Amino acid sequence: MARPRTPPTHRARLAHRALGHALRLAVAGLLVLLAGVLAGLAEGGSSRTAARGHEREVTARRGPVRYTLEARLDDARHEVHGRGTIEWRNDGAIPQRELWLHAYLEAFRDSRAPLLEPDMARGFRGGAALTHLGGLTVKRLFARELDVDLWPRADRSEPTDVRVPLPRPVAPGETLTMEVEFIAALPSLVLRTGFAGEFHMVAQWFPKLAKVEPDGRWAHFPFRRFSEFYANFGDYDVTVEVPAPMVVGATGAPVESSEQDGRRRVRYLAERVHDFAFAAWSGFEEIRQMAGDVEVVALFPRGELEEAELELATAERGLRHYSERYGAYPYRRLTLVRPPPEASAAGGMEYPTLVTTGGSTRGRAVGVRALEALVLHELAHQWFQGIVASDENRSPALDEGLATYAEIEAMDAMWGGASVFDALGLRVSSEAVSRIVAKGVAGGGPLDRPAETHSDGRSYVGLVYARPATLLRMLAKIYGEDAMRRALRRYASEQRFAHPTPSDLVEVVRREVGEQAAIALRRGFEGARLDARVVRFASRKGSSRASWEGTVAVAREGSLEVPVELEIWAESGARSRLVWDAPGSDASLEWRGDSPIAAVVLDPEGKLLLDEQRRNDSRGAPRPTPRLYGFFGLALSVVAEVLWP
Amino acid sequence: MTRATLVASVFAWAVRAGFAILGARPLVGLAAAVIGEHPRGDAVVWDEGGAWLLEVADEGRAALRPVMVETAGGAFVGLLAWSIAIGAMLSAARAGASSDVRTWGGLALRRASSLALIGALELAAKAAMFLFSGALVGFAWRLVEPTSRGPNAFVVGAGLGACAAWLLGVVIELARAELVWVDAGIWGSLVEARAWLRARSFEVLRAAGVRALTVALGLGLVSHVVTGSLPTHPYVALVAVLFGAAVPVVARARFHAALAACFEAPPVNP
Ligand SMILES: [Zn+2]
Repeated sequence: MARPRTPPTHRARLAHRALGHALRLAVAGLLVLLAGVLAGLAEGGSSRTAARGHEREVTARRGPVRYTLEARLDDARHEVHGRGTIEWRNDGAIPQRELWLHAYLEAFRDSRAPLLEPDMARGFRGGAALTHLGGLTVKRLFARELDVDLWPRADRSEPTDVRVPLPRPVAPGETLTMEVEFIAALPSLVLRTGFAGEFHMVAQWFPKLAKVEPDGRWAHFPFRRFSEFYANFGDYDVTVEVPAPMVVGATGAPVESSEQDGRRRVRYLAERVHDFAFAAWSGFEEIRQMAGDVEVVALFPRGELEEAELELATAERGLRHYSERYGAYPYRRLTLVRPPPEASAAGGMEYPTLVTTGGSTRGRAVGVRALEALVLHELAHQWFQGIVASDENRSPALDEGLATYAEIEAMDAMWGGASVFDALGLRVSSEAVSRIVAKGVAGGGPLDRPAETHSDGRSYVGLVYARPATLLRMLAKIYGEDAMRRALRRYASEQRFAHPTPSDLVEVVRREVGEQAAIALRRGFEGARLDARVVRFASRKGSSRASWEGTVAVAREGSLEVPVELEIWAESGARSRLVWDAPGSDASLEWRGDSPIAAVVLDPEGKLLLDEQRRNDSRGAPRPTPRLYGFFGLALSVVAEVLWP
Repeated sequence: MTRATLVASVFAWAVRAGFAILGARPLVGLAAAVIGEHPRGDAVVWDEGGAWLLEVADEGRAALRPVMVETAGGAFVGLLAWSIAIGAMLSAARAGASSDVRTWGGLALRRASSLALIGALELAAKAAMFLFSGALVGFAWRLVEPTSRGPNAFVVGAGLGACAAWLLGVVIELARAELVWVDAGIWGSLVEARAWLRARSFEVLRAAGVRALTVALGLGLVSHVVTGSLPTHPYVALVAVLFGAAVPVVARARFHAALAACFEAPPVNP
């Protein structure tokens, strides 16, 4: 889900290289455009074949649910009137005596609901006050096969997590068809869903079946501040009706459209997805572009064409990158919705085949890429959450961690070691920022734990996004990028259209990267920490002439036991490497060289991203610091000029 | 340039250069403690990817408060020394080539407390202007134009604040000149300065504009050289910082010369 607010480092300012970036972008845009035109001319036939391939994959195996809904937006009352059918097949191993339905909008029925506790928002989204309440009123839930309206018997003691007893057990393989009628009252936009002025982000709006796990257990949960979603793959056939001036962006692809009496009706089909959301607003403008055989549509507020073009270009690049890393994007269409500024609480969220964006292009002059990072993050969710649909409520760190990993990897692959800041001669990568956020929550407990156990936004962002992502990046750096790439590729392909758990990720890492990496990953998910350091070194004359022997004592706190590299600087200037690759909290390593040891650097390549302190990583003599004097001297000169007489 | 101006300018440069280097010491110490005993020293901060840069920023944050207090204290002492240095430069600007250092230097020292007081007040007023205008414009901006596109409201505010602060600086510089050249007392000098600005606004503002432009261009160039050479030629950068300290001094001396000429010219009819 939503990406955390940009860390402060992203926001650093001051000018450099603006023109360079702009030019590069313009050239890249032109090339992409040209390539698109040429590809379109030359490969019309083959792209049609590929599109058929897509359809084969998404229709290959029917999911256990099918929603056929009509959604009529009453824009004056900010309500969606819904009716239609929900088909459910008991996919579990045992007969079911009850259904569980999520009514997420019920969380917005009370402005003092725990969901909206402002203290919890600190460091994360959703701190604004709820000025207009929401809710989901179900009028009817008639089960055809049972010939009974199930809703009157529903147990709604937890309004977002409703238990619906069945008059008789439904056997494995048996299907229920429920006729449903409901009114979704949208709240003022505080957290992902709702309205702001005329802008409507319609998400989590219909009564939604919880998922039956293979063992027959229902994975259901009350909707809380950090909860996200979890559901079966299924087919959605949704007809959206809005006032005619409104432009709609929705999950899936439009198949029919008509206009009558000032109302516009568009029918969307989305197959093999696990949610359906749409945005409707009369202020949208639209641009689109083909990315291979995927049509990317960007909806954006008037006056933000520059941002929308950048989003489109980033999405196109991201689709290519992720498809190569994690398998082809299986759908025909991707919709980017850029909410207007007053609706920014809707931005930065992923739904199947639709993502909401945000972020400004301000700061590009100094290499800050907030907008690109947001698009790449939400786009990564099309794989890690969309296609590989892990339980976001029970294990939010799994999909957010992988999406953040993918985002960091893509950012640094596209823009190198200066992917988030590049000015004043200083360059900062996305990975470095992630490491700092991750180490800020060291000792914060397990990463793999249910969403509702997080106490505030800072802990949530650190433990769910940054730390798992940084842990995976660290293992990639230590055990090899190729091995990690293979592991994630395998995870994404084995779990395509499936519902994995963290152990499935650990398992592919075991197979592709190795036992030691898998143990580190498991321990890391359990909350393990790492602080490695050089304790001391000594050297003495060796037995032969011109040879020296030394010992280097190293130690580590925490149970993340990964190989630790050491670089030994001899007085002659020669450098050599030692590796501490053994379990335990300390070790003494032997060294041989041509002169005494002058200094020892632990982790010279900066692979130990979760190492909590770097100040204890080196031993030797303190060095002069002319650069720091130059940098701070310049800064103080500027301050004096501005503030002094 | 007279000998008196040269001596006063060298003193002023020493104050600025000394502040840049000595004032940086606590911050440098903080950063160096995070880098520890790495044999590459502070070069690691400029590595691509910025891992050490962020490490320094993050670990340094915890110990930043006492260091900032120390730096602010240094900045205040520097401000006082700088106020006296400006007084000496003003004094020298009208002293003529033959004057004895003791005569014009003594003049600056006799006015030291008044100069220091004016300097401190100016600092406080400028800081307040920056903060208020930034916040005010930020607030107004959010009300009328809440798009992500427009220039950052705080930057716009700070820009307006900078203009106001600059104008304030010009008036106070005139008051300082009155104080040193006429000894009209602090309040009397401020009143005179206003009258002076009204009567000779074009010449004064032109000279002040030239000074501001010189400083902006000079420091911009120095910043470019410093940030460009830091990773690979740190000592070149250090020299550039020291050289940079001369930029505001030279611009100031030219400004003072213009003011002195204006002051000595026969009064124009109102
Ligand atoms: Zn996310």
